[in-house]
Amino acid sequence: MKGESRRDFLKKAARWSVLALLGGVAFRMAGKPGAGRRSGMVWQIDPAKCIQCGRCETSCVRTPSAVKCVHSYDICGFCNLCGGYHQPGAKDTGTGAENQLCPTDAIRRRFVEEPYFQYDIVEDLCIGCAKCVKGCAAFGNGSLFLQVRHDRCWNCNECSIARVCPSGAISRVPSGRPYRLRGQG
Amino acid sequence: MDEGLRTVCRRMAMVAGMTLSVAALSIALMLAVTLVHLRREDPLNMPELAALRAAYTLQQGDEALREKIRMLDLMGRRAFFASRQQLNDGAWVLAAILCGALLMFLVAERLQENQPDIRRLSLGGEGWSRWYLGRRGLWLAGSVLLFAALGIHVAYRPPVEIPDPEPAAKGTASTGSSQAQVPQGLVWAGFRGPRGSAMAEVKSAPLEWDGVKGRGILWKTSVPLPGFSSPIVWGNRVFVTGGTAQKRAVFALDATSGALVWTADTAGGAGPGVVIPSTTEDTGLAASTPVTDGKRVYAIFATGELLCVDMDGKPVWNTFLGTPENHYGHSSSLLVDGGLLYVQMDDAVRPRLLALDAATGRTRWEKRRQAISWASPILIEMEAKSMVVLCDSAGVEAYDAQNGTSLWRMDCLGGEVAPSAAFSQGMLVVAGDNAKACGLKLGSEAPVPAWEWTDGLPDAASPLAFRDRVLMATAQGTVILLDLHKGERVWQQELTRVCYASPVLAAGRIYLVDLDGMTRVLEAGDVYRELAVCPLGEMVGATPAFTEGRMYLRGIRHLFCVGE
Repeated sequence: MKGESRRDFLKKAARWSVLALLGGVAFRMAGKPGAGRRSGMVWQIDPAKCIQCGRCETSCVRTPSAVKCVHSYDICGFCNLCGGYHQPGAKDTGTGAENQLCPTDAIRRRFVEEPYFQYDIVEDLCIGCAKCVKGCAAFGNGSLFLQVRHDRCWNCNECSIARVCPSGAISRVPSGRPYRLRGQG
Repeated sequence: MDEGLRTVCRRMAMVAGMTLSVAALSIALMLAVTLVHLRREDPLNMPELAALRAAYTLQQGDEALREKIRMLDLMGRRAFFASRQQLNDGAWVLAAILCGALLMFLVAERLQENQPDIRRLSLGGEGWSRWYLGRRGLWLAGSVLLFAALGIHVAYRPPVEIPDPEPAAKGTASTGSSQAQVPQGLVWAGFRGPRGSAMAEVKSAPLEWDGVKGRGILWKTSVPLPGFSSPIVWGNRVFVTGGTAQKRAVFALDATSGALVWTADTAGGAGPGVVIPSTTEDTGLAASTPVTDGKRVYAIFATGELLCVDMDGKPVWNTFLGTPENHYGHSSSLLVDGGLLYVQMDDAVRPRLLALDAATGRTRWEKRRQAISWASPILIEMEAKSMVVLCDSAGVEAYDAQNGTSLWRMDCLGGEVAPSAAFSQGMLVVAGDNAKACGLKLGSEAPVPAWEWTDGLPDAASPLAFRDRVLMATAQGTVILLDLHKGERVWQQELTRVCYASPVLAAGRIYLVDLDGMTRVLEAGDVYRELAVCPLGEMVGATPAFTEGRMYLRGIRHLFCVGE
């Protein structure tokens, strides 16, 4: 507007500032991420119900998925031949690609002492495909399992993985206990 | 600013904005192509790589093949991570370019600000006022809509439900933890039926049939894999297990037609750590009878693989308990009650009793045992306490079903024990063909031995305790009825063949199936009386399952449904 006075300009600036402030407050209250955290509920996977269908990898709105493999050292057997690390039927326990189950090399195998080996998850490489979880469940004691990582999850109002989860393994849990871990009672 | 310079700057800003817009469009297209390519090619799951890996399992040590796998795996991972990096970086670049384009267009507009506005020129005073108010109105309406949307977003919360991980059990059937709405007469949930008692809770049972001629046979279905495990039934589903070195599986059949409904195996052959144990021909890899609680079916194999699937055959959990050291082959059957799955792990190196959470497979408690056996655990209720009773090569022992506390132990057996315990009227009967049969009176304290019997003992078939009688099919091919409380013989009858199948009481009659598949239907009285003798035409080692009006009998090759 041509010839807008200084007073009008200040009024307009004040109005927009208040509007921006209100918008910011509203966003803080309701916007993503973390709305659910403040409301006390977050999404999480129940390892007991998970059937390792692989949809956590492909259905999450985040890329890579906010679902990662978690390792419970409490119940791990530290086996030399690991169902979560080695290909089914592998005779060799080496770390070569021909023996590895993980498609992204996201599990590190470290020698502890004869005959024990420790397996660590490299989270940046893990895509939540659940292949290791399936292998561990089939031939191990289930120390590898999937969890929604809350440092990555946007806590959507309607979790896109929960919508397609065939076993109904994903549900909201209290944010005070955001993980469903194995090996802790 | 000079008008000429302003025009030049404005045009430059416009050109820059347009160029950036084109660049943004190109990058968006490139990202879309990358995304489609990544999804279509799926470099982490290349079929070629899977085929090479499968070939490598058969040609261990083939260095050329190994190098090829490694190369392809590396290429796949590089392609995957490079594409993902491209998508990530591309998104940021796209955002930056769009911002730049927007900025350029804003600059161009700002530089045009002092130019005459055709709308203002043409509208005149009143028109200009309307245009100005309209613009204000538009802003106001937009703001109202924005705040309304935010308000709705804040106010509305989807209903939050935390599902109960283990819905409360309800139901009518009495088979341990049975819960689904299935009539009691249509349930035979585990080895020897309800709680391992071998007493069918049915009003009617088949009396005459002929498996050779097909008379009285409702259906007959070939079982895909061999096994000596017994069939179990839940409603309209019959479950059997079978196993070879290549595959161990649970099969679900339609109880009406005998059609195979689904198959659930132990994840396709031996995986890491799973060793195929050597077993005798009459034990095999699938001698343990599965069990169901109406929500899931549980099966264990001689390899130590323990499988849990839901009633539709979908895997719920499975685990590997370690290959048991067992010279005939592991044959103890599973028992489920109150959300716990009891596994009598007959591993000579580490014999133990495990109670697993039936829903998750997690170990609730574990008790080390003294020795192994080939018998199966049974469940007994005594003075409002539920106890798991199991035999081993030296005796019989009981554990609190809930917490695994050892309640008592009685060393009264010896040698290799395959018959499971039987219980009726407070009397527990255990037997082994290398030692003796014992009648133990149970009470609040340790059991009191009431009698012993050594004249004819069972080898594999478990005793049948009913009312005040106990019946035993001996290793010598005789069948003996004893007084349950005194251990005195009521009658004894020679048979032509021994029985591996345990005798069952159904509809007031005793069903005794010998190894040739000949079933003798006996009157459950104090005089030996055969009501019928029915051939099957196949060898039988499994104990029959009974539901209302029907009997399911597993032969060496087929599963038969007998009924009218």
